[in-house]
Amino acid sequence: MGLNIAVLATGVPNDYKALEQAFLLKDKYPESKVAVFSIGACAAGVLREAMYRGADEALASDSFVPGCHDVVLCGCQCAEEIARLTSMTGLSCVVCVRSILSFSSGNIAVECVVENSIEESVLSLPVFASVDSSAVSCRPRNAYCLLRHNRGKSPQVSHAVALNAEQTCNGSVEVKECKYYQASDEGVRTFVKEILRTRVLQSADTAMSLKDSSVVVVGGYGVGSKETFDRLFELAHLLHGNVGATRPAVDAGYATRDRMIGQTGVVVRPELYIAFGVSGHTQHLCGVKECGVMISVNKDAEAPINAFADYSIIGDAREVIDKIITYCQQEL
Amino acid sequence: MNYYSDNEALEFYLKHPLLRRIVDMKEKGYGDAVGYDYAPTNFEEAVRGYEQVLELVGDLCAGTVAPNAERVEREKHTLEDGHVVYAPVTSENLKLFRQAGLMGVSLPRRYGGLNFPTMVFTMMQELVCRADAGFGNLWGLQDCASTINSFGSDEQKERYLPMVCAGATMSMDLTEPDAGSDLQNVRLKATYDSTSDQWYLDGVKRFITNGDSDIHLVLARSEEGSADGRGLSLFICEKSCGKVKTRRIEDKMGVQGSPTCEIVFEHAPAELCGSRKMGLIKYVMSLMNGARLGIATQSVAISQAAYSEALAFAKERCQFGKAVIELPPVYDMLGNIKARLDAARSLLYETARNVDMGYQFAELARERTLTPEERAESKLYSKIADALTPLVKGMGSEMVNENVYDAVQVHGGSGYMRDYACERLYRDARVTSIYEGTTQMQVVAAIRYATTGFYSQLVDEYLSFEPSQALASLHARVRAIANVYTEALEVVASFENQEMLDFLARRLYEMAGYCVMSALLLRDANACEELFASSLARFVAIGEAVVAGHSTYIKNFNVELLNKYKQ
Ligand SMILES: Cc1cc2nc3c(=O)[nH]c(=O)nc-3n(C[C@H](O)[C@H](O)[C@H](O)COP(=O)(O)OP(=O)(O)OC[C@H]3O[C@@H](n4cnc5c(N)ncnc54)[C@H](O)[C@@H]3O)c2cc1C
Ligand SMILES: Cc1cc2nc3c(=O)[nH]c(=O)nc-3n(C[C@H](O)[C@H](O)[C@H](O)COP(=O)(O)OP(=O)(O)OC[C@H]3O[C@@H](n4cnc5c(N)ncnc54)[C@H](O)[C@@H]3O)c2cc1C
Repeated sequence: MGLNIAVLATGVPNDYKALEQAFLLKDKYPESKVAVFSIGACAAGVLREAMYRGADEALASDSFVPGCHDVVLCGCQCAEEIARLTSMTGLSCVVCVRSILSFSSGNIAVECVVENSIEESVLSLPVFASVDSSAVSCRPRNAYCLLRHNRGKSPQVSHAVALNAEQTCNGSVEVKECKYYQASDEGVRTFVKEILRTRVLQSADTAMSLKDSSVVVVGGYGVGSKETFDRLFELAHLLHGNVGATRPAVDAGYATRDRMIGQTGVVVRPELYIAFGVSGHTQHLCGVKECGVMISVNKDAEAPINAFADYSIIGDAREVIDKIITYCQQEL
Repeated sequence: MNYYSDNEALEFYLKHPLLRRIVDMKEKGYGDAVGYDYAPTNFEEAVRGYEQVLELVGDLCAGTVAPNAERVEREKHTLEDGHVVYAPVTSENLKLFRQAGLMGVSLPRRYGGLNFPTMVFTMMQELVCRADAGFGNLWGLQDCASTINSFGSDEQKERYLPMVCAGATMSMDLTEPDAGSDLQNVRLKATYDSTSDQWYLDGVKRFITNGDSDIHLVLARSEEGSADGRGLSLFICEKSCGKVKTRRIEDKMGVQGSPTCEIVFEHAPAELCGSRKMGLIKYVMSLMNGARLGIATQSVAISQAAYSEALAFAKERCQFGKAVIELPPVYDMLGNIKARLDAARSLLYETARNVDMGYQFAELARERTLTPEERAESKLYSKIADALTPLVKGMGSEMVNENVYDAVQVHGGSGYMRDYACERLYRDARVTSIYEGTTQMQVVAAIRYATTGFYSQLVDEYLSFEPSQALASLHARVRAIANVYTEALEVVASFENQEMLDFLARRLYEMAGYCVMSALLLRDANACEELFASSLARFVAIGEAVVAGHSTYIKNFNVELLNKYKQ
């Protein structure tokens, strides 16, 4: 008894949660197949990661045939996007799924988050489900999948997408590409919009201490100068947040010591954490607990922080800060 | 952070020239590539695969296992109805490693394993133990499956090895209340019931790591009326039989990441592994050699963790207007830790390479008759592995204890506080010189390689290269301590007294240890000066002092003193 499962990756962190739901189904019904499709200009990073973690196939969106899957999962919570995708697939739709409980005789039971409480519902297949951010995190990479991939056999990431991946890795000074979110200027604008809507407007209290702020903008040594660092205050102000720093940034005189986050500094628990020029060493990141969304801006795609960040923007901190401030001003 | 990629020494040891031979033999012409889509098609691909998987492990260890290590101390494992309930973080770690496909690392692909060499498994174990020595034990016990692979029947392999690869845990049930160092005294009874054609186990084992495992390897007395090691056989017993109960979880000093249990077998059905009466003599020896290498690895890993902690602290902590790392006594301690760490790691991977080669030849011998040259080589590699294993286990575990002592000292009062990982490392390290045979038992196993001159031969062999100019004087100094060691051996031989030899054995063993480790580190430094030259200079200086001290002690020793020293 196997299911034909599709995961539509749209370039949001929740993609991984959708992926995990697919894997959990496959754990239960081992004959199932998990195929991952990238929708739009989504980075190939997700596809590659999906293969490393156990997906059977990774394909570009143009190979997605609506109607040939039992379960279609996605991590996207954006209403317009879901509407677009469901019309594309023509399936019945359930949103905010936290876990898939069981599957029997053409039906599937799911648990959804409805206004802060959990509800169970049963749907008949085929079904389209968007996975909630409270769902379990994705499993790690798997040694066998890595080795399989290493042999260059199975991952069928389509050529076009693979080329995109190359570009992502090379990076550029434009605010163009994210690790999980390959985006044009326009894309980042949308992304900023989404972040602002869902996360920021809830916290309007500007007088919060760094420790209690739900939005924290952090500058690291990579910010490069006190002038650039000072611009972080502008952004924090716009977002009703506060500014933190890494130890080297403090040592370099960009910020005062009370702003230092980490092992020897303050511990923060933000909803939104945006790091500029921060490499992401443990001594710093151990001061960032239960973080909602983590965004990193770093010129080095390989910086360790990118392994933790939900969004990584590869570019020069000075230029990116300007762009983000501009977008925010336009959106707010 | 990634524990693999942040440590350049690991890549250096991974890429040792002998690796090609090990992998070529292990992969037997890369034939598995036909039937298994994850098998490499050539050497380069195999090595790239090792690196990728090591990076995966390094990531999981730094990202999840290390932060969990502190929590497991508070959460604790509990006993429920005769079975162990792991601390939640332990279950989380295990789940992660199962999902990551890291449970059958060295087993053949036929049974679902990754078929990695011991060298690479050892390196993974170093990463895991650096994050949490206790979890390292639990995870490392998968290596018990190698004993089933080597000596079990085909049916047993087909039954148990896929279970292990899928994530079943194992335990090695040897120790009993009255049989610790002296395993010949094992009493747990194995009785054969001819009507049901079935073995049954009755009795108690204690101090068993992960004692509530899914698959137990049990040393038991199968020959009624026998009293020594020849009456013992090895058995496989499954938890699912419901007749093995954990009756106690020990409340211990460290390695909290795995429960240590007292277990009772109540007429538990079991299968004989290999031949009767060979349990201790052959199979447990093989099992223990693997496990000893594991503890040596754990020792190196804890040393690495202690060094990283102490170094970071010393750079951070200011007294008298400067970071304490600038104070000579502090950087002296740090340098000593690093030197002992690097020397122990050098010996560790040398041992692992020889274990691999010995093992590959043994495999080959099972398939076809070896040529005379192959037989000679096979014997040599096994002999080196047998000689180096007790050396690296004993020296490594004693040195990690010195290292954690110094690491706490570098921390000052902070090192005594639970807030710092160092405090846990101090406690975790202590057991390494006790389990899998105390240091004293390692000396017992190693001493014949000293008295027969085998360690001296090895040192000669290791030193037979033309050192770079920068290392020439160190090369001469290592040669000099080797000569002092050889003289001491002659002095002890001239006593012609077994008790004096037993009394002085530990000193000879340490001298051998310092000579072998210095020589190996010298070779590594010759290949890569920037990584090892500084540790080498220090290690040789420490070694000179130890060797000179022991030499004086031995020269001044005599029978009268021995009698005076008796308690
Ligand atoms: C015991 C101990 C305690 C510590 N406690 C703390 C602590 O509490 N808090 C803390 O923060 N640190 C602490 N540290 C230091 C910590 O280990 C790291 O060194 C520190 O967090 C790194 O800071 P960073 O990311 O700003 O600097 P770096 O590691 O130097 O990283 C700079 C980053 O900026 C990027 N970059 C460079 N130029 C640009 C550009 N133009 N645009 C975009 N990106 C750029 C680089 O790629 C790099 O990733 C501690 C260290 C120790 C040993
Ligand atoms: C945390 C932990 C986990 C363990 N896990 C396991 C496990 O998974 N499986 C398992 O089977 N066992 C396990 N053990 C048991 C361990 O292997 C034994 O404790 C160890 O072998 C020592 O035996 P003992 O405790 O009986 O000490 P003893 O043998 O009583 O030793 C007492 C002292 O006498 C010395 N001594 C004894 N004989 C000699 C000799 N011939 N020459 C010189 N000195 C000698 C010893 O060195 C020691 O100093 C574990 C122990 C601990 C602490």
